[in-house]
Amino acid sequence: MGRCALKLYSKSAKAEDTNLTKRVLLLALLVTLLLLFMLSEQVQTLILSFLFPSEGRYTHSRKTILQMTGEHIMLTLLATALAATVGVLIGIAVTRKGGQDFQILILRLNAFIQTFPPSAVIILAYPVLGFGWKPALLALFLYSLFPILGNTVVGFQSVAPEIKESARGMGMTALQQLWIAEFPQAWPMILTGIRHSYILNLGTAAIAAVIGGGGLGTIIISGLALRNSALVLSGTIVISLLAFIGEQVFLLLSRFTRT
Amino acid sequence: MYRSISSDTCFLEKLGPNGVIVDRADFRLNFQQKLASVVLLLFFASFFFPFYLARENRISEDIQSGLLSLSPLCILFLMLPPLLIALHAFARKGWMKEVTITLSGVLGLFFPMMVLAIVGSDVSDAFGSLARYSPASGMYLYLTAVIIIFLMKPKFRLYDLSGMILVALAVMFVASKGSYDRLGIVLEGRNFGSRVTREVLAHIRLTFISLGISIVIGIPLALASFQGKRAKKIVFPFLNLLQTIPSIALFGLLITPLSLLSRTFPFLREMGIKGIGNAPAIIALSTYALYPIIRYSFTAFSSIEESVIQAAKGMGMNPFQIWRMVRFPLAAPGVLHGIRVALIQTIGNATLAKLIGGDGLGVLVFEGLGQASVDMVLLGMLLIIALTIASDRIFQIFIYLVTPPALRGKAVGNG
Amino acid sequence: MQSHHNHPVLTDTHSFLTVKNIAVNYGEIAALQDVTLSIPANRVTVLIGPSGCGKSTTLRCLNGLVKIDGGSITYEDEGIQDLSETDLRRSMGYAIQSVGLMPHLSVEENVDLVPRLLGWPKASRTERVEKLLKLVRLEPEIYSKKYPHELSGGEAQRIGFARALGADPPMLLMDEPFGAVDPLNREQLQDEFIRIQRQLKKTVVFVTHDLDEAIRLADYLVIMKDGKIVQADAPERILASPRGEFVERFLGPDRALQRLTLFTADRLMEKVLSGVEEKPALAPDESSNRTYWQVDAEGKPIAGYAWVGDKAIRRLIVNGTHTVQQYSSLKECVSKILNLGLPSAAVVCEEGRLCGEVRFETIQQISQG
Repeated sequence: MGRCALKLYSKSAKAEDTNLTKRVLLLALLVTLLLLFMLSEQVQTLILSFLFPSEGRYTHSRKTILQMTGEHIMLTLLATALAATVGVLIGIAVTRKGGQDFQILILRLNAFIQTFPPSAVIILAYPVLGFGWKPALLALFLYSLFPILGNTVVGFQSVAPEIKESARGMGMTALQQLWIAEFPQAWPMILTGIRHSYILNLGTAAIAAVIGGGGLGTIIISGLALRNSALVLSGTIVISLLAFIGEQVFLLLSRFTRT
Repeated sequence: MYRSISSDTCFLEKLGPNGVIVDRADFRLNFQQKLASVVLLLFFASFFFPFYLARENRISEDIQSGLLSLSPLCILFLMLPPLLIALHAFARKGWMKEVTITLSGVLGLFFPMMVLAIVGSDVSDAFGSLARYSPASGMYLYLTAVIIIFLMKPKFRLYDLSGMILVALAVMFVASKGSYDRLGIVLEGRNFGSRVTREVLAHIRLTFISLGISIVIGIPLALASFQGKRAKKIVFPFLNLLQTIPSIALFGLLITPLSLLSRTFPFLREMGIKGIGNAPAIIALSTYALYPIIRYSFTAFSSIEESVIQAAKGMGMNPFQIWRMVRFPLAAPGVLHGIRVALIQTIGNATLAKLIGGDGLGVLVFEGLGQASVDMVLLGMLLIIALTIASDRIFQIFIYLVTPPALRGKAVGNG
Repeated sequence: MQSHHNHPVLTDTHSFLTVKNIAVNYGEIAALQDVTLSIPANRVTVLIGPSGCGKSTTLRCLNGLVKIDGGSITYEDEGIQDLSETDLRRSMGYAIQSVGLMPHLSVEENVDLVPRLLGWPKASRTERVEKLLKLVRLEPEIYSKKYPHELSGGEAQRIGFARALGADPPMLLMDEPFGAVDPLNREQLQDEFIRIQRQLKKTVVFVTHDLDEAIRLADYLVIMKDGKIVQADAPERILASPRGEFVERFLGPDRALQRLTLFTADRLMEKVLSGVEEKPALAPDESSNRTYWQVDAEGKPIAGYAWVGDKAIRRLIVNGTHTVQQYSSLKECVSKILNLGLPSAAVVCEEGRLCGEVRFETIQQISQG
């Protein structure tokens, strides 16, 4: 019986290793594809003209894909990072003894914000905050803050009371309790929230171009205006690749930060 | 003399001559005080932002006015809700708490609207008959504080609703006197006239047709994925790919293929299916709504406990009876929740239909963006949000009614 | 290799269901091999063995939830493969550990399910539900409108049992029905089961991994290991002569004590000396190894008096804690006797009234066989 279990274990460990290799290879492939597409206008034209032979143009008139991708990543990462920092901090605060009163407010606010469609949040930033990338960033941040916050709260709530109890029993300080006992337990849930926000932000940031936020939305919008699917696809390919790359990176991250 | 008894509590104790505690001062904030301080902070912050913007005419420069530049009466009005919330923080009796928080919330909605009416006449006095004004970030912040007041109430009660209805009636009465005539969104609404109703109806139509198509396709796909591994292997990767495509792009990707199709097959063109217009918008919207519908339905069907199915089989139900009497009723709340998520999402995304020549409220929004008219965008967005909240409410009531009583109030797993 | 095909059968009843050489394979793993078993009518057959021994699989073969890959199961001379699956299952009540009550249906609707599937008329169904709820001692007025999530584990298990009895099937299949209940409740449910079974005399197949439970409930005990039957016989005969090392180890070293679980208190119950008055000094001759029970006006025991050696003792009785019930096992009786230090245990019937006693002496005689 014991030997059988051992065998099974080593088998699954091996399977995990091959999985990891596959993952890394996949990530490398995705990054290569992205770089190829992003850096060379020939590649873009080649692919797009193959799919849409009848279109007049395959590149944006003023900006290169590289520029737009830079802006897009900047906007998305900045919003996600801001939301992650603020969200996790608030999440920790409201799961401590003194902050628990705010939990219900946070959860209700979360449900309330979720009723707004993402495109509405971005576009609303214009009348409220004005035109440009800063209002877009703020809107993205606000919209992705709550999923992270919600997951953080749930993550900390799901830490077994026995664990907290025994940590206290060992004489850990509040900070040690948080860092050693609770955080590792809540981390997978938090990471899922951040991953979710990143993917959401990538897509929502495309709408940001409408209110002057720049990014890959620029080429998509001009494709829409010119009735040119090739331009739309060009932006979409990059966004999709960024999403898949992000997904893989987060999976690897969760693999290496697992306890 | 008071002394602190330990580092992590906020008690201070006063000791008598023989070390007996004679008094204890508690410096901890209670629930009400903590929440009230958040709200007060927001109110306070709102005073430092422009409360409204005025313009001599549609294209002239904005003139910002903060709360403190309003007339004393207006300032008094706007100070009342924060004052009530401060009172709430120290209220001891149950009815006192309830009265202060309710009044603060309802008046917090009422007074800004009245201030807007008063500002309206000031503006037209100062800038003439072409003048217009609109609320600005200070007022939005102020209203956020009010929303938080309502969200922090333990329970939303009938008198809260009555209060809101009263405010709405008062606003309508004031509006009928023409006090909001110089408000930007009112002016834009007038400009559009009957087009506003038309676009609202078009928006609803777009949403419902797309959602209908999505349900008809999505639920069978969810069932197929639930029943067979092969179907799942096709459906889920497709959904995941779909999820990485921004909604705005999905509309554009259809332009060329659809126009090619309609050029090749003229009968499609006659049916209205071509690269631009409502047809590609509906296709894109229903494709996008597939994700939540399939995801939630699949989860709903697969989270039914195996023991229940075993018991049903054991008592001799045939497969058809198991579906009808066990699986469908148990999965219904989850499936409907998915449709609800899809509904909210589709109302939002339908805004983008305008970008490929479709109808709906996106027309107002994007024309507004094109003309840099904040008021026009605001008008469109407010209508979209009103539409979202109203349909969400109606749908929630519907879900409640069709959920078996035993399953009501239980959380539904999310995809 | 001893023959697995000739297990002794109970002689006082006929075979209800005959299982011949059945085999079940899960992929390459053989879950059951060559299982042959005859299930006695109107008796309780208990299948027991370590986890993975195939006891649940055997049970699930009987109502066709698991398809057999070889052999046959015959039910009154008809192979169950020839019966329609739904008809077969509706003629057998089925109760499982996780109960599997339909969460969206009320208690009443759950119990009513099989009669409804069978198309019984509404009036007789309502009556039936009420009768069944009373049978499992749950007040219909209180329970019929409740929903499964409002029930305790023990209550849910009773409803599951009532549902299995729904259409009055001749046979009941029970797969560790009391497995998820706490020990105290489990004992109570077992008492109830014995009471109901004495009344209804169903043919029951019961799967458990709890040896005490098996010995208590079984008329016919089947011990399984690695998908095969190791020994099948009346439990007292198995305890007396276990076949092979595995069975001996499985039954454990305290077989004499296990024998005590075989009998219920009512079998050895004797008349009592009792009265409402106190008896500070009981005459020694009056009470050779007996107890005088003092009862209250309703007949509930409140104290016991006895001579132990040359000392008169008096013990206060807390009903329920210090008393046993009609269907409690002798093991329980011994535990109460040792606990109080009295020579006998008080047996209480309905509403806690004293109705007899079980003497330690009598138990000693039984346990020596």
